[in-house]
Amino acid sequence: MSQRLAKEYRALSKTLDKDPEYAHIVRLCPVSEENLRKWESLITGPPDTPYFGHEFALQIEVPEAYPIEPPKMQFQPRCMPHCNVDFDSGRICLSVLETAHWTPAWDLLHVVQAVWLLLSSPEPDSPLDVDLACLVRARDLSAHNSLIAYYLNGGSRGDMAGR
Amino acid sequence: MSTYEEEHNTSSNSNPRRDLRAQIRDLYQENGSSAALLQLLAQLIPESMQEELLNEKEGCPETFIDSLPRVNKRAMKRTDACSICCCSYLDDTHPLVVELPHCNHRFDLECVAVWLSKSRTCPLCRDDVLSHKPNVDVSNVELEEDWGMYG
Repeated sequence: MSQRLAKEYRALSKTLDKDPEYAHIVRLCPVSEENLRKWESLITGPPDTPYFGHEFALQIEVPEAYPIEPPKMQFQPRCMPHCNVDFDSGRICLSVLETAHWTPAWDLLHVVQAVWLLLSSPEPDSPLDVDLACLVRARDLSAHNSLIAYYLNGGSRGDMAGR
Repeated sequence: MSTYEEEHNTSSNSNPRRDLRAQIRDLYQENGSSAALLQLLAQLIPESMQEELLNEKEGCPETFIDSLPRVNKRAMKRTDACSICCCSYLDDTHPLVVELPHCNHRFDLECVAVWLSKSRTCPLCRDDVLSHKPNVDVSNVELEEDWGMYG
């Protein structure tokens, strides 16, 4: 099965270079050529969102049983304010990343794509950031977007001590 | 003073649950764990959770995986590839490819067998592969009707 990862890697370099549909994926590759189990990705914030103009790094771990089991994917800790992301750890709540909803027909490119799409469509019903989810639920987009912009530009989320 | 049940308005459904618990206790003392016991236990779990718990752990039986129809090599195109391993079927001189019921999606037997041992869904369309009844043998049904006429 590890052949499949090598195939994905080979196909990816072509796709990312040529296909404008994936222009927002700056990078998606193994951290080092020696170990195809650890990958990283860099995506740009989607237009018309408070994330636009920023870049975000994703850390990807591919389990031994991939593609029968889903890859583990998360943002860098304390970089992504989003109602479906745990800010402190970077953990992402996304159905395809869970064993119950994953299927082996998905690949790393499409999971990164799904994560990118999540940035422009927050899902307040399964929140990991309750404050942002409440603002989405209250349809207070301007408060939601400015809070995210505040965090992205270095605004404090309070002290981590005592948590 | 009101009881906990009155306060929390749970008295209405507490009795059936209590009966159920008593039944379970009896069953357990008689048989240890058994199919009947597991079924009763399942009733205690809310319906939404039941589905998740019961479906998730179960893959397809081995007999089902073994019975999947093989695809003839002549029915494969050069570009056809297994979406699990991403390899072209015809790269192998003796490809062992199977077709799932109903959705007719094809995979290498080796690849899909691992997946179906853990899941009941088609990797491509999430169709529940066990939900389709096997084809009923029509000739038999007609025979039975005939018997009815003469009997």
